[in-house]
Amino acid sequence: MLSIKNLQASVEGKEILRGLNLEVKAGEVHAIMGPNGSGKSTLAAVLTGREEYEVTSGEILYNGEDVFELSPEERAQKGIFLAFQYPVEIPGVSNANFLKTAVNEIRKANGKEPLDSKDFLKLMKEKMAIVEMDKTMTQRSVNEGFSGGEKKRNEIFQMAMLEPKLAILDETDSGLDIDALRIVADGVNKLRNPERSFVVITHYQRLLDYIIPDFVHVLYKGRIVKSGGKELALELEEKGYDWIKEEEVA
Amino acid sequence: MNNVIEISNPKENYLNDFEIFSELYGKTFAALRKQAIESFDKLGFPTKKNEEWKYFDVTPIINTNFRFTSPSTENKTTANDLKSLPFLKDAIAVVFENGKWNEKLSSIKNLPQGLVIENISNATENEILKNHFSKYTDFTNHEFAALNTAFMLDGTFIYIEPKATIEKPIYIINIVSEQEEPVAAYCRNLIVAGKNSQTKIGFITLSQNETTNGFVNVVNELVASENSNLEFDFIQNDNSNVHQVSNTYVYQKRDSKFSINTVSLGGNMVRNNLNIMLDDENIESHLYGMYVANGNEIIDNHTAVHHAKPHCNSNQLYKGLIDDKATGIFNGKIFVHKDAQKTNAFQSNKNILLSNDANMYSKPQLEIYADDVKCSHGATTGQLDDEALFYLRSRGIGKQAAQSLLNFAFASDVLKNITIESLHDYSVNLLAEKLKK
Repeated sequence: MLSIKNLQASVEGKEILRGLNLEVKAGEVHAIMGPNGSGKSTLAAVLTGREEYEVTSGEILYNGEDVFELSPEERAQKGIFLAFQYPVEIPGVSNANFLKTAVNEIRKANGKEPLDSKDFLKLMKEKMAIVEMDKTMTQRSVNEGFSGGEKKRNEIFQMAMLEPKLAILDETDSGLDIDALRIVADGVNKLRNPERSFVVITHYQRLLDYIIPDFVHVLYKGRIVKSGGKELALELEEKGYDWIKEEEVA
Repeated sequence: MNNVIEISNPKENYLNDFEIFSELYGKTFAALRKQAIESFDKLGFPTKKNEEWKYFDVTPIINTNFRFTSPSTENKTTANDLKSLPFLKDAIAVVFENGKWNEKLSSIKNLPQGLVIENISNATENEILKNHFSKYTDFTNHEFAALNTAFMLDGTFIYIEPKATIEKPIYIINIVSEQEEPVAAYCRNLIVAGKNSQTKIGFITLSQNETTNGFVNVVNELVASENSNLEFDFIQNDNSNVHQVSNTYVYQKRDSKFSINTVSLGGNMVRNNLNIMLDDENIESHLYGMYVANGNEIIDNHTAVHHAKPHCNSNQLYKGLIDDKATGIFNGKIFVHKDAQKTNAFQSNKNILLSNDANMYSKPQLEIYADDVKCSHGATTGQLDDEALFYLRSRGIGKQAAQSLLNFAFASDVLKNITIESLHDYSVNLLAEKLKK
């Protein structure tokens, strides 16, 4: 599904990713962990096509297709979804209207008929249940005045609505209390299926108690320095990131 | 399309026109008209050297020979010209064509209790009208208000009796109709909200068709008596040939609440002067504005809020989208007089430029002579929010569609202050249409 080879990227002339390799197959959940500044969010940004990030070398293939040829909207239309670390507030655009536009643009790009209001509401109702979202949140402006937890829940709700093939969660757990974390993680687990892959970027192991990954990778100084199974996350939790740093130096 | 004749001495032209007009049609308010034209004679037309008119060059307006309307002109508009306003059916509505009352299209019979509506020329003997008419219009300083006072043929007089709550909205409509020569439409509204009364009034200006040429000159006088609540929604939707200059004078008494929404979505050159006098204690004023200019359009909003007494609140929010080679202007003055302690006065002007050739001139001005006040003002002019744009695109929405969605959201946000539902929806639709151009 996703194949990243020797990815090097910089922002404002500063090199952040220094030769990152990652293979994600359909249905897998990969966790990317690492200390602050290791390049986790840069990876998410490059995958979704943020213009401020410059890719200097390497390639990303998504289902065999070169991702760098695609605009952010085309990537989304082909099934790549990013749950933002900092979801953006958009005053004046209702959540429902925003999602209806998004769902139908994606359907259009995939040669499907747009959903009419009735079908759209039905779909929305069904997906709202996944993240225990109440109706008023869909009528409010996108993320405006939402609490941190509501914003993250809204990201997962959008993910449920757009049904991506590859979902990237960028520090979705940071700043959440345990109840909110549980709702978000439950939502993600309900959306797991053999066709859908996840890249879960996180600083803390805590999230991985709820979303059990197939693989854990440690990102450090722009490279994946260690990979393993879910046990690796526990080891990191216990020992912190320092031993990785030491290992790197050695 | 009609014949456009350029004139060499606009001032003389208007003075000569007045000779004819006053002789034939100026019997009502004769002394007042004379005073007004004398003021105009002294003032002349503003030039760009005048600080108040620095960015709004009136040359295209004054060099065209816009003709005043005579009472004998036949009405050219029909119910069909109002079909874009379906909410007028069964509503209280006063309809004017080029400033001339169209009785047939108006519906001011069977009014609710406590509401008086008449056309001004029929109400000249009304005591309330006599007490208020032209009392607030500053034609010694405002050139176009002077011309309006000299040349106005008719207008709307609305009086809401004390304690009356008018549930149904009231609509005032002016249509600029197609005439052989470009027409000057003088629109005049006097609204007096009595003590403890409550009303919502919508004023819409529009054009008969896309090629109609004309100049709309508006004077609104709005009086909010003690403890009254008045909303005035002013929707400017003329075609892109028609010019408009409006002068709105608001006079508020103790404990009153007034709000105005000025929505400018049509017209070639549009200038709005809004003057609010808070002449008593515990008054609340809300000034909202929304404008979209494209092509070569110019939209200019000048506001002046006078805090004369203590414990009053005023709040202004104007938002605009400027595209193509269009120009937007906002100049907002807040005067806090010496006695006006405990004043709260806020002002905000936000603009988005949608093209590299678009211009926005924004100038907030505070003059404070009291020492215990809270005042703030701010102006921002920028491009679209890149973060929001990326967020929408990352959800599969194309760049163009994402931009339109954000533009619409930015501008429509102000429209929620229009609490006449039909007018709110009408404005939202006009905005959506305008953003497609």
